[in-house]
Amino acid sequence: MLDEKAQLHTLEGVAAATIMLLVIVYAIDSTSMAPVTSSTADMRVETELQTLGQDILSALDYAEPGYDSKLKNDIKVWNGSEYVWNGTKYINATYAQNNLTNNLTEILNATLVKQGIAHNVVISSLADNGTNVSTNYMIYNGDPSNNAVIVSRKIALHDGDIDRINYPANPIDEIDNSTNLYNIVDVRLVLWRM
Amino acid sequence: MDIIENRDAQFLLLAGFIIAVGLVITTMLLNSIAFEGNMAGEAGSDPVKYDIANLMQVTADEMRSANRSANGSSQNFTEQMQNFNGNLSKMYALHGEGVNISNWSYTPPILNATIMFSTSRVRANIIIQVNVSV
Repeated sequence: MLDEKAQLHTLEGVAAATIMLLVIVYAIDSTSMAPVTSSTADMRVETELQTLGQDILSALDYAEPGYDSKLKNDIKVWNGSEYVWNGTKYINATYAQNNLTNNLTEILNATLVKQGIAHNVVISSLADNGTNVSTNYMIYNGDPSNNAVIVSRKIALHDGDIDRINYPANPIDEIDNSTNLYNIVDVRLVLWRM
Repeated sequence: MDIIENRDAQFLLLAGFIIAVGLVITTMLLNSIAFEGNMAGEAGSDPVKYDIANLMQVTADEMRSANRSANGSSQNFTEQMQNFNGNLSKMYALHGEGVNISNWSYTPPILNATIMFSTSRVRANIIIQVNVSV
Protein backbone atom coordinates (compact mmCIF):
# COMPACT_ATOMS: atom_id res chain seq x y z
CA MET A 1 0.00 0.00 0.00
CA LEU A 2 2.88 2.33 0.74
CA ASP A 3 3.93 4.20 -2.40
CA GLU A 4 6.96 6.42 -2.54
CA LYS A 5 6.26 7.78 -6.03
CA ALA A 6 4.93 11.29 -6.92
CA GLN A 7 6.06 12.91 -3.66
CA LEU A 8 6.95 16.18 -5.36
CA HIS A 9 3.60 16.26 -7.08
CA THR A 10 1.93 15.92 -3.72
CA LEU A 11 3.96 18.77 -2.23
CA GLU A 12 3.13 20.91 -5.24
CA GLY A 13 -0.57 20.25 -4.69
CA VAL A 14 -0.31 21.19 -1.00
CA ALA A 15 1.52 24.42 -1.83
CA ALA A 16 -1.05 25.34 -4.48
CA ALA A 17 -3.89 24.70 -2.01
CA THR A 18 -2.18 26.90 0.60
CA ILE A 19 -1.75 29.76 -1.86
CA MET A 20 -5.39 29.53 -2.92
CA LEU A 21 -6.46 29.63 0.71
CA LEU A 22 -4.39 32.74 1.40
CA VAL A 23 -5.83 34.48 -1.66
CA ILE A 24 -9.39 33.72 -0.54
CA VAL A 25 -8.70 35.01 2.99
CA TYR A 26 -7.21 38.23 1.62
CA ALA A 27 -10.14 38.73 -0.75
CA ILE A 28 -12.73 38.23 1.98
CA ASP A 29 -10.99 40.64 4.35
CA SER A 30 -10.98 43.43 1.81
CA THR A 31 -14.53 43.07 0.47
CA SER A 32 -17.99 43.18 1.97
CA MET A 33 -19.79 39.97 2.77
CA ALA A 34 -23.24 41.46 2.18
CA PRO A 35 -24.71 44.78 1.07
CA VAL A 36 -25.56 45.77 4.62
CA THR A 37 -22.20 44.96 6.15
CA SER A 38 -18.89 46.72 5.76
CA SER A 39 -15.54 45.15 5.08
CA THR A 40 -12.74 45.06 7.61
CA ALA A 41 -11.05 47.90 5.76
CA ASP A 42 -14.19 50.08 5.97
CA MET A 43 -14.49 49.45 9.70
CA ARG A 44 -10.91 50.54 10.30
CA VAL A 45 -11.48 53.73 8.31
CA GLU A 46 -14.62 54.54 10.28
CA THR A 47 -12.86 53.97 13.59
CA GLU A 48 -9.99 56.20 12.53
CA LEU A 49 -12.39 58.96 11.45
CA GLN A 50 -14.33 58.73 14.70
CA THR A 51 -11.18 59.02 16.79
CA LEU A 52 -9.97 61.94 14.71
CA GLY A 53 -13.30 63.76 14.99
CA GLN A 54 -13.54 63.23 18.74
CA ASP A 55 -10.01 64.49 19.23
CA ILE A 56 -10.76 67.61 17.19
CA LEU A 57 -13.88 68.46 19.19
CA SER A 58 -12.21 67.62 22.51
CA ALA A 59 -9.28 69.91 21.73
CA LEU A 60 -11.57 72.75 20.67
CA ASP A 61 -13.87 72.38 23.68
CA TYR A 62 -11.12 72.48 26.29
CA ALA A 63 -11.19 75.52 28.54
CA GLU A 64 -9.61 76.61 31.79
CA PRO A 65 -12.06 77.19 34.67
CA GLY A 66 -13.70 80.57 34.29
CA TYR A 67 -13.00 80.82 30.57
CA ASP A 68 -14.94 79.79 27.49
CA SER A 69 -13.59 77.18 25.09
CA LYS A 70 -12.57 77.98 21.52
CA LEU A 71 -15.55 76.06 20.21
CA LYS A 72 -17.97 78.00 22.40
CA ASN A 73 -16.43 81.28 21.30
CA ASP A 74 -16.90 80.28 17.64
CA ILE A 75 -20.57 79.49 18.29
CA LYS A 76 -21.09 82.80 20.08
CA VAL A 77 -19.82 84.90 17.15
CA TRP A 78 -21.33 82.82 14.35
CA ASN A 79 -23.48 84.91 12.02
CA GLY A 80 -25.74 82.02 11.07
CA SER A 81 -24.43 81.73 7.49
CA GLU A 82 -23.50 78.53 5.71
CA TYR A 83 -19.95 78.16 4.41
CA VAL A 84 -18.37 75.80 1.92
CA TRP A 85 -14.76 74.85 1.25
CA ASN A 86 -13.66 76.13 -2.15
CA GLY A 87 -10.21 74.58 -2.20
CA THR A 88 -8.39 77.35 -0.34
CA LYS A 89 -10.79 78.74 2.26
CA TYR A 90 -14.32 78.53 3.64
CA ILE A 91 -16.49 80.94 1.69
CA ASN A 92 -20.08 82.00 2.26
CA ALA A 93 -22.45 79.88 0.19
CA THR A 94 -24.50 82.98 -0.69
CA TYR A 95 -21.91 85.77 -0.75
CA ALA A 96 -18.61 84.28 -1.91
CA GLN A 97 -16.61 87.31 -0.85
CA ASN A 98 -17.27 86.55 2.83
CA ASN A 99 -14.96 84.02 4.46
CA LEU A 100 -15.16 82.03 7.67
CA THR A 101 -12.03 82.19 9.76
CA ASN A 102 -12.18 80.98 13.34
CA ASN A 103 -10.70 78.38 15.66
CA LEU A 104 -12.80 75.64 14.08
CA THR A 105 -11.70 76.36 10.52
CA GLU A 106 -8.09 76.61 11.61
CA ILE A 107 -8.04 73.13 13.06
CA LEU A 108 -10.17 71.67 10.26
CA ASN A 109 -7.79 73.12 7.70
CA ALA A 110 -4.80 71.63 9.49
CA THR A 111 -6.31 68.17 9.92
CA LEU A 112 -9.24 67.16 7.73
CA VAL A 113 -8.55 69.27 4.66
CA LYS A 114 -4.92 68.18 4.49
CA GLN A 115 -5.97 64.51 4.62
CA GLY A 116 -8.71 64.93 2.06
CA ILE A 117 -11.50 64.13 4.52
CA ALA A 118 -14.83 65.71 3.62
CA HIS A 119 -16.77 67.23 6.49
CA ASN A 120 -19.88 69.09 7.54
CA VAL A 121 -20.45 71.05 10.75
CA VAL A 122 -24.06 71.02 11.93
CA ILE A 123 -25.32 73.24 14.72
CA SER A 124 -28.50 72.10 16.47
CA SER A 125 -30.22 74.03 19.22
CA LEU A 126 -33.55 74.08 20.98
CA ALA A 127 -36.19 76.44 19.62
CA ASP A 128 -39.71 77.63 20.41
CA ASN A 129 -39.10 77.62 24.18
CA GLY A 130 -37.55 74.16 24.00
CA THR A 131 -40.35 72.44 22.14
CA ASN A 132 -38.54 72.09 18.80
CA VAL A 133 -35.02 71.62 17.51
CA SER A 134 -33.45 74.04 15.04
CA THR A 135 -30.71 72.63 12.81
CA ASN A 136 -28.38 74.75 10.68
CA TYR A 137 -25.18 74.12 8.77
CA MET A 138 -22.12 76.15 9.63
CA ILE A 139 -20.04 74.23 7.07
CA TYR A 140 -21.63 72.21 4.29
CA ASN A 141 -19.58 70.27 1.75
CA GLY A 142 -22.20 67.96 0.36
CA ASP A 143 -24.21 64.93 1.41
CA PRO A 144 -22.12 62.39 3.34
CA SER A 145 -21.50 58.88 2.06
CA ASN A 146 -22.81 55.67 3.64
CA ASN A 147 -19.66 55.20 5.75
CA ALA A 148 -19.75 58.70 7.25
CA VAL A 149 -19.02 59.18 10.93
CA ILE A 150 -20.74 61.67 13.22
CA VAL A 151 -19.19 63.02 16.41
CA SER A 152 -20.91 65.56 18.61
CA ARG A 153 -20.31 67.92 21.52
CA LYS A 154 -22.87 69.68 23.72
CA ILE A 155 -22.33 73.29 24.77
CA ALA A 156 -24.43 75.31 27.20
CA LEU A 157 -24.91 79.01 26.42
CA HIS A 158 -25.94 81.59 29.00
CA ASP A 159 -27.45 85.06 28.94
CA GLY A 160 -25.03 87.52 27.40
CA ASP A 161 -23.06 84.93 25.40
CA ILE A 162 -24.70 85.72 22.05
CA ASP A 163 -23.84 89.21 20.84
CA ARG A 164 -27.11 90.22 19.18
CA ILE A 165 -25.80 93.64 18.23
CA ASN A 166 -22.89 92.45 16.11
CA TYR A 167 -24.37 89.06 15.12
CA PRO A 168 -28.15 89.55 14.84
CA ALA A 169 -28.54 86.64 12.41
CA ASN A 170 -27.28 84.03 14.85
CA PRO A 171 -30.04 81.39 14.74
CA ILE A 172 -29.65 80.29 18.37
CA ASP A 173 -32.54 81.75 20.36
CA GLU A 174 -33.17 82.01 24.07
CA ILE A 175 -35.39 79.23 25.33
CA ASP A 176 -36.02 80.44 28.87
CA ASN A 177 -36.16 83.97 30.18
CA SER A 178 -36.57 82.99 33.83
CA THR A 179 -33.04 81.67 34.38
CA ASN A 180 -29.52 82.41 33.23
CA LEU A 181 -29.56 79.47 30.81
CA TYR A 182 -29.80 80.70 27.22
CA ASN A 183 -29.75 77.49 25.18
CA ILE A 184 -28.01 74.14 24.77
CA VAL A 185 -26.22 73.66 21.46
CA ASP A 186 -25.24 70.37 19.87
CA VAL A 187 -22.24 70.73 17.57
CA ARG A 188 -22.01 67.80 15.20
CA LEU A 189 -19.00 67.09 12.99
CA VAL A 190 -19.73 64.73 10.10
CA LEU A 191 -16.68 63.15 8.45
CA TRP A 192 -16.36 60.88 5.47
CA ARG A 193 -13.73 59.86 2.93
CA MET A 194 -14.46 60.45 -0.70
CA MET B 1 -22.71 -15.75 -3.80
CA ASP B 2 -19.29 -14.99 -2.27
CA ILE B 3 -18.28 -11.73 -0.67
CA ILE B 4 -16.40 -9.51 -3.14
CA GLU B 5 -12.99 -8.66 -1.74
CA ASN B 6 -11.02 -5.86 -3.33
CA ARG B 7 -7.94 -4.42 -1.77
CA ASP B 8 -7.17 -1.98 -4.60
CA ALA B 9 -7.36 1.88 -4.39
CA GLN B 10 -7.05 1.98 -0.58
CA PHE B 11 -4.82 5.02 -0.65
CA LEU B 12 -7.14 6.73 -3.11
CA LEU B 13 -10.08 6.34 -0.74
CA LEU B 14 -8.00 7.57 2.18
CA ALA B 15 -6.92 10.63 0.20
CA GLY B 16 -10.54 11.43 -0.65
CA PHE B 17 -11.51 11.19 3.01
CA ILE B 18 -8.64 13.47 4.05
CA ILE B 19 -9.60 16.01 1.37
CA ALA B 20 -13.21 16.06 2.57
CA VAL B 21 -12.11 16.68 6.16
CA GLY B 22 -9.75 19.39 4.93
CA LEU B 23 -12.56 21.14 3.06
CA VAL B 24 -14.70 21.19 6.19
CA ILE B 25 -11.87 22.63 8.26
CA THR B 26 -11.13 25.22 5.57
CA THR B 27 -14.76 26.32 5.48
CA MET B 28 -14.86 26.76 9.25
CA LEU B 29 -11.58 28.66 9.20
CA LEU B 30 -12.77 31.03 6.48
CA ASN B 31 -15.99 31.67 8.37
CA SER B 32 -14.10 32.61 11.52
CA ILE B 33 -11.68 34.84 9.63
CA ALA B 34 -14.50 36.65 7.87
CA PHE B 35 -16.23 37.68 11.08
CA GLU B 36 -13.38 38.16 13.52
CA GLY B 37 -12.21 41.24 11.66
CA ASN B 38 -15.65 42.82 11.93
CA MET B 39 -15.98 41.97 15.61
CA ALA B 40 -12.56 43.41 16.40
CA GLY B 41 -13.37 46.55 14.42
CA GLU B 42 -16.65 47.16 16.20
CA ALA B 43 -15.01 46.81 19.59
CA GLY B 44 -12.16 49.11 18.64
CA SER B 45 -13.81 52.41 19.51
CA ASP B 46 -16.38 53.20 22.14
CA PRO B 47 -17.89 56.66 21.62
CA VAL B 48 -19.92 56.45 24.84
CA LYS B 49 -16.95 57.52 26.96
CA TYR B 50 -16.72 60.79 25.03
CA ASP B 51 -20.42 61.46 25.58
CA ILE B 52 -20.08 60.81 29.31
CA ALA B 53 -17.01 63.06 29.60
CA ASN B 54 -18.78 65.84 27.70
CA LEU B 55 -21.88 65.41 29.87
CA MET B 56 -19.85 65.73 33.07
CA GLN B 57 -18.03 68.78 31.77
CA VAL B 58 -21.13 70.64 30.63
CA THR B 59 -22.96 69.79 33.88
CA ALA B 60 -20.08 71.03 36.01
CA ASP B 61 -19.91 74.26 33.99
CA GLU B 62 -23.64 74.75 34.37
CA MET B 63 -23.45 74.23 38.12
CA ARG B 64 -20.79 76.94 38.32
CA SER B 65 -22.94 79.25 36.21
CA ALA B 66 -26.02 78.53 38.34
CA ASN B 67 -24.03 79.29 41.46
CA ARG B 68 -22.92 82.65 40.07
CA SER B 69 -26.45 83.68 39.12
CA ALA B 70 -28.08 82.25 42.27
CA ASN B 71 -26.72 85.07 44.48
CA GLY B 72 -26.93 82.83 47.53
CA SER B 73 -30.47 81.65 46.80
CA SER B 74 -30.95 77.91 46.78
CA GLN B 75 -34.26 78.36 44.98
CA ASN B 76 -32.61 80.20 42.09
CA PHE B 77 -29.97 77.50 41.84
CA THR B 78 -32.59 74.75 41.83
CA GLU B 79 -34.67 76.52 39.21
CA GLN B 80 -31.76 76.87 36.82
CA MET B 81 -30.66 73.27 37.33
CA GLN B 82 -34.19 72.03 36.71
CA ASN B 83 -34.36 74.07 33.53
CA PHE B 84 -30.95 72.79 32.46
CA ASN B 85 -31.91 69.18 33.18
CA GLY B 86 -35.10 69.41 31.15
CA ASN B 87 -33.43 70.93 28.10
CA LEU B 88 -30.28 68.82 28.26
CA SER B 89 -32.28 65.60 28.27
CA LYS B 90 -34.01 66.73 25.07
CA MET B 91 -30.68 67.27 23.29
CA TYR B 92 -29.36 63.88 24.32
CA ALA B 93 -32.64 62.22 23.36
CA LEU B 94 -31.89 63.26 19.75
CA HIS B 95 -29.03 60.75 19.83
CA GLY B 96 -31.05 58.03 21.55
CA GLU B 97 -29.41 58.66 24.92
CA GLY B 98 -31.19 59.21 28.21
CA VAL B 99 -29.87 61.82 30.63
CA ASN B 100 -31.24 62.95 33.98
CA ILE B 101 -29.56 65.25 36.47
CA SER B 102 -30.89 65.07 40.01
CA ASN B 103 -30.01 65.20 43.68
CA TRP B 104 -28.18 68.49 43.33
CA SER B 105 -27.19 70.17 46.57
CA TYR B 106 -26.46 73.86 46.93
CA THR B 107 -23.87 74.12 49.71
CA PRO B 108 -21.24 76.57 48.46
CA PRO B 109 -18.37 76.26 47.94
CA ILE B 110 -19.17 72.59 47.34
CA LEU B 111 -21.92 71.70 44.88
CA ASN B 112 -23.05 68.13 44.23
CA ALA B 113 -25.23 66.49 41.60
CA THR B 114 -26.05 63.03 40.33
CA ILE B 115 -26.07 62.32 36.59
CA MET B 116 -27.90 59.33 35.19
CA PHE B 117 -26.79 58.42 31.67
CA SER B 118 -28.26 55.55 29.71
CA THR B 119 -28.11 54.09 26.22
CA SER B 120 -29.10 50.75 24.79
CA ARG B 121 -25.75 49.28 25.96
CA VAL B 122 -24.66 51.43 28.87
CA ARG B 123 -26.24 52.71 32.06
CA ALA B 124 -24.22 54.90 34.41
CA ASN B 125 -24.85 56.86 37.57
CA ILE B 126 -22.24 59.54 38.10
CA ILE B 127 -21.90 61.74 41.16
CA ILE B 128 -20.02 64.95 40.49
CA GLN B 129 -18.77 67.48 42.97
CA VAL B 130 -17.80 71.01 42.02
CA ASN B 131 -15.73 73.34 44.14
CA VAL B 132 -16.73 76.87 43.16
CA SER B 133 -14.08 78.52 45.28
CA VAL B 134 -11.40 77.77 42.64
